[in-house]
Amino acid sequence: MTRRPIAPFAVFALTLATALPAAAQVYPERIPTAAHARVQRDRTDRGQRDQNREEQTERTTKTVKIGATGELDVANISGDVLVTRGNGQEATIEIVKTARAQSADDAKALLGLVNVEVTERAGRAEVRTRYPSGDEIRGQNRRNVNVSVAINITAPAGTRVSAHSVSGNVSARDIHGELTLESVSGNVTITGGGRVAGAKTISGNVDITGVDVDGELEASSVSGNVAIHKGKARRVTLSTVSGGVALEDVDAERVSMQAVSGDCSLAGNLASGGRYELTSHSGEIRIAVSSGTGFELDANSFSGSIRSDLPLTGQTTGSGDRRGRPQRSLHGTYGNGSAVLDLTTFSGSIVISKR
Amino acid sequence: MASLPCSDHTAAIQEMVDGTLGAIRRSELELHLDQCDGCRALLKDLQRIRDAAGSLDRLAPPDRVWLQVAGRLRQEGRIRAAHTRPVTSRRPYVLTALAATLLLMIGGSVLFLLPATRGARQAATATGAPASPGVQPAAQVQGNAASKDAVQEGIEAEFRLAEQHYQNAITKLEEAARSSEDSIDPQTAAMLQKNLQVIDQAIAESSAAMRSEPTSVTARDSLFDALKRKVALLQDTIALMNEMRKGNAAGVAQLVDGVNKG
Repeated sequence: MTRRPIAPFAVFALTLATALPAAAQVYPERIPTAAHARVQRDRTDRGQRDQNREEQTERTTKTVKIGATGELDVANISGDVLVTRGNGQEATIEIVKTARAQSADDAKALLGLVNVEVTERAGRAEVRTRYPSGDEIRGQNRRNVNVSVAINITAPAGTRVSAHSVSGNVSARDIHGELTLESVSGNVTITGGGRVAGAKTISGNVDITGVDVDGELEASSVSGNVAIHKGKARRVTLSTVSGGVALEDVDAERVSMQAVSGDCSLAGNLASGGRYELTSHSGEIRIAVSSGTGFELDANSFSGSIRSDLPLTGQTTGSGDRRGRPQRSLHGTYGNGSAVLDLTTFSGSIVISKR
Repeated sequence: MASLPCSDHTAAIQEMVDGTLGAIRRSELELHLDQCDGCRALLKDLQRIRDAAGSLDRLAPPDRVWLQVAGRLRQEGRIRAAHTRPVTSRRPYVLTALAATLLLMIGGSVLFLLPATRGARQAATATGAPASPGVQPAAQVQGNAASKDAVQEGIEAEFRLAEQHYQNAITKLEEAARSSEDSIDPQTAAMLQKNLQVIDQAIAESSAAMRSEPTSVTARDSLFDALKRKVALLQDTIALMNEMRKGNAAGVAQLVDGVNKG
């Protein structure tokens, strides 16, 4: 097979000098480079630069009437979004803009360049962060706008929330309306809640705790970890490339967990009739089963080891090869065998144990 | 665990999907389908495969592919020698038709074989034998009277073609990304690059494993999982770059959904 280099990303990172519209302006550190080390150095430089800069903050609060089961749609660019449970029929939106510049006056001037628009109509409110266009910035003899916006919302428990941030964390606490939380570069966190339509990030972790979802729960990241603790959902789908995926004390009938280089971990009770498919290329797969439901096991690894601390009946194993490589498949039934564990890893190991 | 399709009906199901099943046999099969979960699932899978294969881009195969396929068809006695000459550039329409046919074979075979081989994994890995129990029905459907080795060889050739199809798609996607004038911010770009390298590593390892153990179902599944993952990540990365270029923050966030699929 011919391997293809990932040249495009080096190339397009090298073409970053092109003038970009609003979204580009929130990355003042944007410079033409493709090397990760360079990015890290920039990050450090930026941190040191920010420490030496003057900071100005502007805080405003708006209240919108959306009703007990209204809808909130929040789109932020740089900064965190947090939605917490409140009472009544109204949502309170606190907007905190933070600007950094060489002088306090300059920082104050920057604050005025970034607007957060809140629009309200018929049980629905939209929050949008607007940065100035490239022409506007250049017109003011500036190279960038170093302003982040934190949006903190208190909303009725039944609010349906769709919240996004390009660069920032997105969180919801005890909101029972449908949640769709997404970030490009930031963590996504959900605590409590009843309906999670999606929890996704590219570069960050997804952490979900204490949810009770009547349907499917999908969560994913590219480079971060994805974990759900203590909850319930009919179907759970977790995936990541280089992070790990973990499920702990979650009642679910169908579980699909996928990682490429990270580990897959499942701990807790299995549902009777449930199906659990865990796949990782090079990561380890760990199952820690609480007492109760038995399972039928189908575990496979190309070059890793497979071990079950639980006694399996009707056990068959695929032996290691003549070169002494470890066991590569294990099949059998534990207890009543009512659940199905389908575990596959290419080079990682598989461990099934009692919790 | 889901019930398996009945081997007696596999051929008829595939003919039904192909639209070549006669009325009487069709009626008989429909009666059976009403009672058999496994066969219904197979029918649904094959219909999905047919639809998916139909939506794939046309692929122009190199001449050596035609030679391989023609050799196999000749070995099976399904074509005469006169038809086996290589296609030349003077007959592009033949090449196009062949490409379309191959595409259907590739798409169909890989999608069909993968679930089958997953199901047959236990037997294959436990005994170290080829995964033929799971894939032989496909060969039988085609009326293949060739030896087991020939069938296995043909299957491996189909997988190689499917792998090439994925690699071609990856190459095109990488070219699309390269030709883009804009970009996402460098930190996200570096992170995506790193993760694509992780997937590349998985592809390389699985590919090497398949070379050393061509019958390993685990290696094969791992390879195609990684290829699919890379295609999906590249596709959605390009979409993300386009949204970034527009400065559409909300659109970018929406795209996170797509970037994570695969």
